This record gives sequence, C-alpha cells and structure tokens, in this order.
Amino acid sequence: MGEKEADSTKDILDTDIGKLQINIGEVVEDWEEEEGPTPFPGLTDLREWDHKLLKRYKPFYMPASDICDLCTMGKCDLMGKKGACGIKIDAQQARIVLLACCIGASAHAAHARHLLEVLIEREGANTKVDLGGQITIEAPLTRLITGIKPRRFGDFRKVLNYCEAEIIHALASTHTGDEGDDIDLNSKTFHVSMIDILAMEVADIIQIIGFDMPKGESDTPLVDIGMGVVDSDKPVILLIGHNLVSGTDVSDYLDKNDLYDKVELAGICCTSHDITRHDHRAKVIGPLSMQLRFLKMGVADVIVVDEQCIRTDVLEHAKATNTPLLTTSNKATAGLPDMTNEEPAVIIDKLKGGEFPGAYIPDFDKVGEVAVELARDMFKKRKSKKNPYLKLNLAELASTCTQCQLCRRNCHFNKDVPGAMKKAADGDESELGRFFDECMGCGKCESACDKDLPITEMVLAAAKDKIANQKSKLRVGRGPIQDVEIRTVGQPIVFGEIPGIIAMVGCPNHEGGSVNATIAEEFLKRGYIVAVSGCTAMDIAIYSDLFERYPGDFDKGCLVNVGSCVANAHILGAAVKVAAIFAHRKLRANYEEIADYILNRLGAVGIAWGAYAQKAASIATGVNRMGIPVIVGPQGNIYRRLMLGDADDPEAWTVLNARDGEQVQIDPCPEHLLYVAETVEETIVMACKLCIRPNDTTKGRQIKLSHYIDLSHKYLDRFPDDIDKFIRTEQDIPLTSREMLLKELKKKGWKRKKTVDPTLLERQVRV
Amino acid sequence: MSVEAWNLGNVPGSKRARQLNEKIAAALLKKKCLVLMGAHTDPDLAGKLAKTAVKRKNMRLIGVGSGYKLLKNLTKKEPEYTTNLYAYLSRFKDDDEVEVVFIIGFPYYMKSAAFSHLKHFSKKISVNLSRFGQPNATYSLANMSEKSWKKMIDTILEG
Repeated sequence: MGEKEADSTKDILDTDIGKLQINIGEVVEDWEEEEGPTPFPGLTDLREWDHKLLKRYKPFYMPASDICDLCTMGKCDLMGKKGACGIKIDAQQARIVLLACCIGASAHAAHARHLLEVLIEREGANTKVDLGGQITIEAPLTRLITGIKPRRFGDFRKVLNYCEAEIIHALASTHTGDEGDDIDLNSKTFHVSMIDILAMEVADIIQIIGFDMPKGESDTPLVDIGMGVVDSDKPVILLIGHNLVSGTDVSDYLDKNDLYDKVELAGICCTSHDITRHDHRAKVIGPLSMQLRFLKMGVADVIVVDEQCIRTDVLEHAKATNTPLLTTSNKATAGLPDMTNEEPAVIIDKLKGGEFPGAYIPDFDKVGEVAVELARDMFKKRKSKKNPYLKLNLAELASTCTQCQLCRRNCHFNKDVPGAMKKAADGDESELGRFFDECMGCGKCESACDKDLPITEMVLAAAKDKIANQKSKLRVGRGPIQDVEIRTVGQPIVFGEIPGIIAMVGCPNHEGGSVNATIAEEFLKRGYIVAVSGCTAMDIAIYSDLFERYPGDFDKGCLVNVGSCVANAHILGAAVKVAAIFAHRKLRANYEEIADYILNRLGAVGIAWGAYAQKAASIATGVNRMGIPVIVGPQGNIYRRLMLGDADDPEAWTVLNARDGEQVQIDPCPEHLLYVAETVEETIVMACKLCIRPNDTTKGRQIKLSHYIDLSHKYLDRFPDDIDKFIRTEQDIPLTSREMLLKELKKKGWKRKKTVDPTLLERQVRV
Repeated sequence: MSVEAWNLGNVPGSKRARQLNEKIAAALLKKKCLVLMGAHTDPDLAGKLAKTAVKRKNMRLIGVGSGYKLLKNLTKKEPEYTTNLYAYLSRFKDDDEVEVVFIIGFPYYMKSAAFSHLKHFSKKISVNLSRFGQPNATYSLANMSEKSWKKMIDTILEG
C-alpha cells in the first residue's frame, strides 16, 4: 500500500499570484530523457502515421445498415446515395466504428478515473507508483504517449484529464456535419483507441498498487475456476463486472472477520480475475458466457455488480431466484434505490425482508459488510431456491416445442435449438447439453420463444454432470512484464528466434469453448510466447490444463496471464519495452518511432476469437495503431470494418531504407492489420504468418517460415503458395524445404531482395 | 419479391435481395460465375457444386481458407485456393471476368457482411444459395426447410 500524504497534495491546486502560478501536486518533469516530438498528441497529431498505415492496410467496409438515422434529417438512405449532411456510406461506416471505439475508450477511461479517485481518497495523491525493483519502466504507454513519467498517483490525473479530453474530441467529430472523410475517421478511431489503451494502463497500474496485486511475478498461484468450484452449501457472493473497488471491500471484510472459509466469494468476467489478484482464496466461475447460466442457477445468495458487460436484465434474474442485488457503480444502477446513507444493518433488514429487491450502494466502505452479512442471512432462507433447473422435466418441456424456428432465427450462431428440442422430447438430451459448451449463453433463444420455454435452464439441466465436474485451474494475473524478462527475450524476439508473441484476448462470443485452448497450445508447443487476458484466459483455463503445464514467464513457450481486460495494456507495454530496453529507442513522447519499430521488427499478433464488446473494438484498434495485427473470429466481422493489405500491390510495401533513405520494396509483412478468420485452422496459419516482420534475421525468418509451411500443411492441407514473397535471400529458406523451394522459386522467377533497415518515417533515415 | 432475413436482427435497410427461383438461377448460371466456398459448406451442396463446376466452363470455384480442404476431397484436379473471403473481396475488381458471385459455406453473419460489401462497393450480382435468407445479396433463396432446399438446389444445379 502506498504512503499517506498531507491533504494539500490530494488535489491539483492552481493559484495565481500576480504573474506567478503555483501548481501543487502536478507533475514536474525532471526526466533525463529528452522529450520526443509528440507529447500528449491531439486528435490530428499522429494523423500522418495513421495515413501511412491506412495507405497500406486499406479499410474494408461491410455496412450493417444502408441507413443513417443519427439525426432528424434522416432516416437517410445511403445505398448509392449521399445523406442529407453529405455523408457517403464508407464514411458513415467508419463513423459507426469510431462511435463504437469512443464507447470502448470511455468505458476504460471512466473505470480508470473511478479507481484513481477512490484510491487517491484512500491512499493519498502522493502514493508512489512503484511496481517493485524488477520494473523500472513502470508505465511504458504513459511515457510513450504523454511524455510524462508518473511517480505518484496524482500524476495520473493529468494523464486521465488528457484521455477524457481526447475522447470528447473524437466523439465530437462524429456529430452531424463534422468529419466526412473515411480515412480521417479511421485516423480518429486509431487515436481514441490509443487513448483507450493508455487509460487501461493507468487503471491496472493503480489497482496493482492500491489493491496489493502481483507486480509482474511470473509464479503467481493457481486458483480454482469453473461452474463446479463453488460450494453451494455455503453462503455464496457473486461478483460480476470489471471494476474491483466493491469486490475488494467484500474480500477485505471476509478476511478481516476470518470468514473466507465460511463464505464463498466467486466472480464472473474480469472482476473475478482481479479479485483473485487481490486475494487468491476467491474463485473464478468463468467468462461472460457463464453469466446468465449462473444467475439462473440461483446459487448466489447475494449478487454484487460493478460495471461493463453486466447483463442489463440482471435484476430480473436476481428477483426470479430471490437473490438480493447490490449495484455499486454509477454506470449501472438497475433502477434500485440509493441506500448509501443507510446503516448496513438497516440495508440488510430491508433487503432480507424483501422490502426491496436490491440496493444501489456506491459506498465502498459499506458494501462489503452488507454483501457478506446479507449473504449469510439469505443463505438460510434461500436453500430451496438453489439450482431450480435440476427439477425440470426436460422431455415434457421439450415436447411442447412447436418447431417454429424463432429461437434459431434469433441466435447469431444459427444454432439448431428446435432440432435439439425434438431429440430431448424423445429422451435424448445430448444435443441440448452440447450447447453448454458450444454457445455463448446469451439467452436470445428463450427471449424469442413463443412458448416461454426456459431454454437456458434446459441446457443447464442437460449439462448437469458437466457443470458439477467443471473444475480446473487458472494462473492468477501477474500484471506487467519485468524488465529483466525483456532483456532476456528482446533479442530473440526481434531477431525472430522466438517466432512471435501471440496475444490472445477478448470475450467468449464464439462457438466451441475449447477453441482458444487449441490455438494457445499449438503456439506454446512451437516456442511462441502466448500472452492471455480476460475471458480468453478463463476459456483456456476451463477447457485445458495449460496453466498447470506451462510456466507463466514472459519467455519462449510460456503462457503468460496478465489479468483482466485493463491488464491487456501490459502486453502492448511489453512490446514498447522491447523497443526501449533492447533497442534503446527513446520512449518519451515518441509514439511514431516506437510504432514504426514494432511494425517492422516485432513479431507480435493479437487474436480475439470471441470479441464482442465495444471495448474489444477499441483495444484491437489501439493495438493496430502500434503496428500489431489482430485476428478476430467470425463474429468479429460485425465490427464491419477491417484493415487489409494487398500482397500484390508493390506500392503498399514501399518503405524507406533507414541506412540511406532509398525507397525500397519490402516483403509484404505483416500482411494485414485487422482480419476476420472463418475457422480456427485459418486463424492459426494466419497468426503464424502475421508474425513475420521485414527486419527478421535470416535465421529468424527461416524459423518463422518453417512454422508457416508446417502449419499450412497441418491445418489447410496445402503448401503455402505465397512463400516466395517472404524469401528475401536464399538464406531465408528453411533447411528442411530448401531443395524443393529453390525449384519453386526458380519456377516463379523469384529475385533476391536487398536487405534493408525498413522504416516509414523520413526522420529515421540516418544520412 | 424481396427476401426476409433468416436472422431476425439482420435488417439491412432500403435495398433487399430479390427472391431467387429456378428460372432466375438458370439465367444467372449462364453468366460468368465465381463460387467462393467456405469451410462450413454443406458437404452435399459442395459435391454438387464441384460437379457443376467441372461441367460448366463459365463457373470458377475457389476454396476459401479451410474450405479448400473440403473441395480438395471432392475434385480430382487441384482446386483453386484463396486465404480469406474478405481479403479476396477487398481485391475484387469490377472487371468483366466475373458477373455473378456465389458465396457459400460461411457462418450466417460472415456471409451477410460479405454480401453487404458487394452491395455497396461493387457492381457484381451476388447470390445466396443457402436456405437461410440473406437480404444483402442481390438474389437469395427464401427461408425454407432443409428438404425443400435440397430439392431446390438439385433443380437449380441440374437444370
């Protein structure tokens, strides 16, 4: 925990005395590193970089609607026509993506702001930003983007003030009669998404320090995860969301009163990652896909929600099982009465007696006591409300299904629910049971059912054995990557001997729970670094034992869980640190140079197989601006804007040789920036290919091409027909395929390419 | 007659697919056709299309991503391959080489998005042959049962 300081430092105080302004508590930069060209970049300050990216990776639009209905001049039909404001469909689609990313960025920035103000209130603005002796670059993205080196919590106010201002500017540009150029709209999307990632870094650093989470240690404990890990013979408190402030209060109350072995504390979604980072006695139920199911199981005796990805109908489900709901964030109050000023005992009485179904309690010194004591009371009277699905007569219910297909037509996976009902009516529950693993549990099917069949509960009933046995291990999120690890892996990553960093992030909006584990294991076996976070980390834990088999170091063949969504920032931070620590590039306010370095040298790729939220869109786009490609799964196409390269367009791959300023053509890598894959097989092969970088050493390129050839054979049953594009000299050819490839190259008229030091920035040219 | 979307949320806006029938399909199949086949293609349909492509010189069949594997098992000749549906469409030129694009065997929303791209940014005729209505296509089969669909496909491809 940080040190407490005098009240005078809690806030930034600006006082004018004549011409003298005194800023108390504001950051004073005495950083020895020279300031780079873009401190606190505004909406258009990195536009030139964005245009370079967008010239190579052209936006590919797939409009969700032909119509714009954002102002009263509409609805405007943009099908081959302009809208009343003059906008065309390409700009309109870019605008919709910008709006989504503004939503994502504001969610993280608001989350960070809330954490910061709560922690400053508790610990003081002068709390040191200290992540331990192994981490000297404490906030790589903050240093890179803003040019400040945060030393105390109060310094982050300036960072978040900046984030908030930039989000407003970006959002404003979507107003009717503002930006109408689709490329500039994409540039603004890049900008607000970079801000998103900056806010995420702030959020995670301060929570690590403020809530005593691991500070980059790789050997964090393994915790229980799964629907079967919660002991329903004890009072159960369920946490849902992303902002841990209320969760820590519950956990600390259990700890202080020695109740951890008497009450179960378990979470869903990122708040469960973070609660185990705070106290590993807490349990993780699973990703977002378990939310509706666990609510319907009625196992929880009290539900505490904070913000983001909470079901908006959580109160309805809580009421159905007589479970009191505590809302704790001003973002999601669920229509409940504000009981902040009531005494805990009074609140408990009101909720226990059923006077109210829940309460809004944004007082984080009160919510812990209320949640724990209320859960202990409710447990006694709720026993009969637990696991109601076990009493369902599946065959009888299924036989009332009229096969109208409305459930299937409302399912974004087009799952054959009617077919499963038909079988269940005949006594075969297996198809229904399979949906437990093969759908994301959104409940749209039952919402569409004319017969009001409780489809979610029916799936639970059919999968009851699976649920009871779903117990595995998740490694607690470690947070940032240590400097010493970067020193060890920097060279092999940049030279290509560690073939790549695969960052697997995002949500569970996909079919087939084991998909992420399959992808992760393929790359782990091949010596890639696999970094994971959020619901994807949970998916991997539930459907495999990878966390027990692979160490948590940031090193070759290791599986690194950084933690919740906001901890994603550390994966990008690690890429930035490679540039700073291994390549000695200056970080301070030097965004373009570092992004150019990463694009050309660092073999990293993001995979978000089940991306669903607006936050996932902004995270991916923020990563893209830094030159890292991202692959999303089939549902990710609903973001409706990709950034795709054309390997056959020589102009797109023309760069400057930093050695002499000559314009040269490089191999087309990374080929795409934002890509939708149809299948897991395609994802694996493409991820491998997107780790290729123009500056790989010949040895590194050989290794990467060996994997590319091998994976193409294994998953696509073919030899990659574009391999000649990635062979610069004969030394790049993998030894095992040398003779065959030499023949192939001759046939294709391949010519040796000049070895260059590639850059997109004129100022990087050394002569 | 315009086609109703299979997925209830897939409401595209002003321009909706016209319903494909045997007569229109016969006329379309006489044009320069391109079939993009994904990994999720019904094996029965994939087999029939592979046979049709062999018979018709005006039909080009490409296995997309993992769809290539499916196609490879159905043809004696090495099938054409492309990595990815959207990457392919992003390079698609409005030239005369192709007049009609069939997109088959992708998850519903992947197809919907691809048809939307073509609708807005290309002059090609796009066709949905699955039994789940795709309003963003130029022509789409109406929503129908599996049995009726199989019969319809046989009529279209054999006709």
